[in-house]
Amino acid sequence: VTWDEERDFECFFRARFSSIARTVFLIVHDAPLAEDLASEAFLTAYRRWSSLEAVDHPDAWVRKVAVRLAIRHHGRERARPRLERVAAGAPVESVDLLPDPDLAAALARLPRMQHAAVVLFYYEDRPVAEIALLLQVSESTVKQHLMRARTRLARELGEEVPDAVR
Amino acid sequence: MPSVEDRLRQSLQANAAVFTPEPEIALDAVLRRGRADRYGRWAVRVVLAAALVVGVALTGVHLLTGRQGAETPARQPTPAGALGVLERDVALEAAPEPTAAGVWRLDFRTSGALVVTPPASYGGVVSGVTFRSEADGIHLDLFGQDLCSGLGAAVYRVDAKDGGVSLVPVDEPCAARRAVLASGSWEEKP
Repeated sequence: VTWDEERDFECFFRARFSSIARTVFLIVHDAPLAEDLASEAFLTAYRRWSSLEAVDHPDAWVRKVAVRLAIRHHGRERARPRLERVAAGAPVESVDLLPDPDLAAALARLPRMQHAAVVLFYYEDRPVAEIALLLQVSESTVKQHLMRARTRLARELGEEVPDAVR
Repeated sequence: MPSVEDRLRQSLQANAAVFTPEPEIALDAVLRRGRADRYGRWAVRVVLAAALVVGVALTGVHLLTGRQGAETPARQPTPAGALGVLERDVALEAAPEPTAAGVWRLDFRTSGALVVTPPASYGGVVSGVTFRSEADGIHLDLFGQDLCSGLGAAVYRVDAKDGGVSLVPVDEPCAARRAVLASGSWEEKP
């Protein structure tokens, strides 16, 4: 990484970090952890910045790495017994501090890929094709994740599922 | 009843807005780690290159000394087993402690056992001492259980001169053992 490349990386980081960290936050529901995971993704980008800079959308690359780190962490955390997480100091009940804690809690109970698909679709407003690339699954799998997530969330939150969803 | 989609769009925005990341702090940390990794990789490369150079140089020296060794006869191991019994009187000023002053007797047995008879005043452990002859000299662990505990074995070269035998330290980490073995010459006993 040359001096000029590092300056470019800094500009890229300042422009994209908050957005990517917020997406990660909606998956892990833990602010410091979201910053750590997003930072880890940007660090991976920094290490290969010379080649990554030539890519059309480096932000898509970093977002993909960050989301996958969040999904992996989410899966690991759910596999750990609750008491173990409490003993390790993990903020198990941090969703209570959010404006819509019920939704956050219901999302946290979803399978991790469904959770990520919902965040990317409803928060980032990304098309299904792009979500499929980010999650490295087919478009039909993304649609299935979204449909199942909507059905389950509607049941848990007492909302209705519209017949025609995009 | 509102749709689940409306709630998802509104609440995800609201929940995300609670979180305000600190890009400058995070950037500083990422750059620090990234630079450290980079310098670390450089350091590893430098160390590997240096190791390669040293390895090549040592190989060259080894080949060179190997050739020289072929021209001159290799040094023979000291025949410690043939030393038999050595005896000397360690002076008070040379002894590592006052009780070690007096006559010491070393009996090098062909079995590899070194039977040590200390002065009557010495109360330390001298049993179970062993030795072996190598190309570089005699390896022995005298005083390994008391005066030289934890310091490791020693290597001595045997020089015969003036009717006596000198034990010359080649590798001796223990000053007390050096004082007993190498502060004067030994007399061969039948």
